[in-house]
Amino acid sequence: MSDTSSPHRISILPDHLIDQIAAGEVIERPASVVKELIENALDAGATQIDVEIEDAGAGLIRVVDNGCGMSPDDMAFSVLRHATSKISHLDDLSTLITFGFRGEALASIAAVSHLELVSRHRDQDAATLMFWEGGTKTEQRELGAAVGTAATVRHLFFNTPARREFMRAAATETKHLIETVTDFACVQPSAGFSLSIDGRPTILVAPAGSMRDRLADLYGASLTAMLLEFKGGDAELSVRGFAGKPELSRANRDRILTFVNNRRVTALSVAHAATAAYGETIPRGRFPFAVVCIDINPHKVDVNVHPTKREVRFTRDRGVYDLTYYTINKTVFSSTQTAPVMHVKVPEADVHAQSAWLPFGTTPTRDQLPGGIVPQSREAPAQSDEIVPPHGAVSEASSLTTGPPAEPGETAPPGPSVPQRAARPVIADGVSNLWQFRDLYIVAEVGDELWVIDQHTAHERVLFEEILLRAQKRAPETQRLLFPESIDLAAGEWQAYESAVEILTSLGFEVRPFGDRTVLLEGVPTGLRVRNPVILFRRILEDIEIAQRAGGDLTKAAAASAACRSAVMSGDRLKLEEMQALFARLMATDNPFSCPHGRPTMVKIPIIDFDKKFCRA
Amino acid sequence: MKFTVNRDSLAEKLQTVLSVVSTRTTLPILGNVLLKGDGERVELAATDLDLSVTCGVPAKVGKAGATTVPARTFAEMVRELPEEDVSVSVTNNRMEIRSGRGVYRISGMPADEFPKLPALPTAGEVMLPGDQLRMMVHKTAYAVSVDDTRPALNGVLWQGNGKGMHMVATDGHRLARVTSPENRLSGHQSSLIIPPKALSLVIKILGENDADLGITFGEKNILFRVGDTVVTTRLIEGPYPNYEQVIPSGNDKRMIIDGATLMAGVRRVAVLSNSLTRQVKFSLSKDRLELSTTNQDIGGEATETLACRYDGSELEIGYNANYIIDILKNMESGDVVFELATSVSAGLVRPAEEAKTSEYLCLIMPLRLAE
Repeated sequence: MSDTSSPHRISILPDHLIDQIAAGEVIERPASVVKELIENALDAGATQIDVEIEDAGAGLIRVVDNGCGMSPDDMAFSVLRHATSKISHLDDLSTLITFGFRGEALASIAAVSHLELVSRHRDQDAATLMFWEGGTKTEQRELGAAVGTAATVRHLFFNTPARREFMRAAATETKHLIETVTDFACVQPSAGFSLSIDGRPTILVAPAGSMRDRLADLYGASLTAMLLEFKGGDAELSVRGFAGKPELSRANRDRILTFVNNRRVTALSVAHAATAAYGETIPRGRFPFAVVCIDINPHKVDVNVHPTKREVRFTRDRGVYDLTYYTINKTVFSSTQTAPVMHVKVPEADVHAQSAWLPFGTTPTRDQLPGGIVPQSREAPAQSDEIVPPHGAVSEASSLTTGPPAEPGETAPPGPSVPQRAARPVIADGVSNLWQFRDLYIVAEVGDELWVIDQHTAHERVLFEEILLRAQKRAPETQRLLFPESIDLAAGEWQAYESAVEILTSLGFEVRPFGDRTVLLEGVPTGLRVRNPVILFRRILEDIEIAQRAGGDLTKAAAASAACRSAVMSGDRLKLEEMQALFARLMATDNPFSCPHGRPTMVKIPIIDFDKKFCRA
Repeated sequence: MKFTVNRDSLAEKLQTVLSVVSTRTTLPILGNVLLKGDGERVELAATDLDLSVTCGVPAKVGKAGATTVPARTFAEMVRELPEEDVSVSVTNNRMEIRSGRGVYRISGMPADEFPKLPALPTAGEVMLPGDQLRMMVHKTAYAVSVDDTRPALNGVLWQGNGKGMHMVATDGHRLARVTSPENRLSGHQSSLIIPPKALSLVIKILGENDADLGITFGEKNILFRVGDTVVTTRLIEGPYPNYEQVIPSGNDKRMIIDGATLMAGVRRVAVLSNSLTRQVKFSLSKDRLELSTTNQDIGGEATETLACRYDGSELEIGYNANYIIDILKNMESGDVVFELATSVSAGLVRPAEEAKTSEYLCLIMPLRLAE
């Protein structure tokens, strides 16, 4: 048996394979390529960076900058692993102020794609083109071009099929690409950025004087008017940025953008501090809009955690948390424009006067003035806008001190033990023993069972099916607006709008494009509880965006979102007739046992369970 | 502090200040009423920080002073007392109430902990007939928005200009504007936004009283004085939407109909409309208005034909029945005019014959009918 023939012989990996493995760490997806190339461009002092994408980055990624460019020698050197112009001693690593430093970026990109670099250093008369296939240089020639660098990446992951397989749907990759360019544009206002996707300009921002101007370009001027600037700290550690007013709160953390020394990072502690800083001004389960830029002495932060540099460690995590919290907290609460959301409970009399059953858009009868002219008192605003994320664990029940009187097993979401549709009782009219527990649960006596119905999820189910039916029949009901609203959308929202415009119309929105990434809202669906048309539109768009990312059915997501926004809430006192009507309508739905988000609408407790508790045989 | 007071007048004034005392509050003193005894009267005051009311009760004050006591408890106490004079004495914020053979004690909080009420110079007071304010508020306040996210729409706009004095309210679906020819705001304010709660309180205090009331304008507050009862409220910050630009001028299809007949018809038809949308369809043809609705939930259908004066082209237009009822309810009896253009554009509703002292205009956006 010869050593050389053994399949298990240990050998040194060839260089190109090492590069491919390293690339796996740095280049996860097309957005990583764009990130590395933009970082190089910024490090080269570029003031204009243009990004072109084709086929969600799988076909082509091109980043053109007007930075200082590279000489041919530097270019050839740049694709060698750990070749970098940015550090040469280990000491340098701790005082890093440029973006790229590992020297892995171009080598990694070259290893897994067809990379073409055209660069002209500002001291040179001509540009040089170089071409690599899987890390091997196959071409080099001179040509004429402007000062700067153009990097073109084609056939990404052509030699790493496993990585290619892992690429998500084009929409997901596109979203990441948009996010990446948006991130850089946010913190580099002095540079102009453009992003074109399959030939369509998606982002186009000219160099701006300040971050506020830049945010206005990116997210729309109307949003920017709702941003509060904050700043705090000292030379060693400081935090600055913009905090959105509480009205801009969102269902997820997507719009808490954290940057450390202008580098976009994931820092959960910062996102947490920013959210906590809003206190009660935003409802639980929602997150603010915030751009948080932390400038920290490079010695105090460890950026060398992961090759994509997304995750950072702070030497003094608590210090960063506290500074972020207090700076934002002070700004949000000292702003006279910010009114905290009051968790006011509606006085009982008012609830009756304005029965929760009365849908939005209708006005309770006011038989005589003056008593009736008081506007219907605030109906627990924090809740009326509450949003239940799909499959989320938000539960009004959690605020109760006592749960439903059932054994633990009974409170679980309905499993096989819950009778399915076939077993639907035909008792819609016969139920009279209904009462409301904690203004949230409807308790009903049905045969040998006690049913506990969650009024919110039950109403959601009823409305969901009605809205879906109207949407499918293309018979939406639209209340036209006296004051049409123009709404500026961020790039991601615009994408969601464009792909869901028909769904929005079928729900009853009357909306049309109105200039660059702006829409004009002229009518809203009737019967929804959220009265502010802009907030309503944005919330539903937001849910569509989430569904899009998760690959869900957009029509259903939009209908569920609208249903959630019009359903009675926990805390709404219902009259007996209202409870009876809700019960009957719930029983008439296709699936009376769960809400469109999958939460149960009811729990049934058979009399046997009570018998057992009371030791009756 | 020591004073003796007539039970009925004390009970009545306590009822007035109770309207601004909130039931639940994080600031306990806001649940209290402030009592200040001086000279010939005891002053009562309550506030929710936005809205305050003060009024006086004639009393024999033995010893001047001030305190605060829980408003609801005190009012309930006084209500149950027999109709005799009530003697009140306060020592160290502990109040003792004597009436007949009963002695009742209740603990209060020091008067200096009570929030300072906004004081406005009475020099620039403007007088306004009570019935005029009542009319203007009735005709507009119903259209105020209840959407907390757009505070300006939560109030009634009071605006003065060369054309007179307007009150305007809108919730973005409908709008009501009433105009009086004489601009009494002139020289004081060009426009302000008033919370309807304050207006309704003033009207409640006015009662049947048509006497003049005094109004004083502050930068952030407005003060209404009815006799010696004073209501002060914080104003809502603007800007108010530019409503004038949405009032159409070219609506050439005119329908004239008796308001009461139309309201009764809409009420009947609306019973069977969809409980969410309240949609009622107006189908107009030559001198004929057909109201109709359908509701699949309950298998409801209704059609009713009314006579009217109309000679425009045929038109079908959907409305939220409640909006129509709100408008008609606040019109004087007689004919109303609908001025319409298309089935998706704003319609104007106004009385066929304007009242002598005011001009009334309602704007209503239709519901888009499914094709």
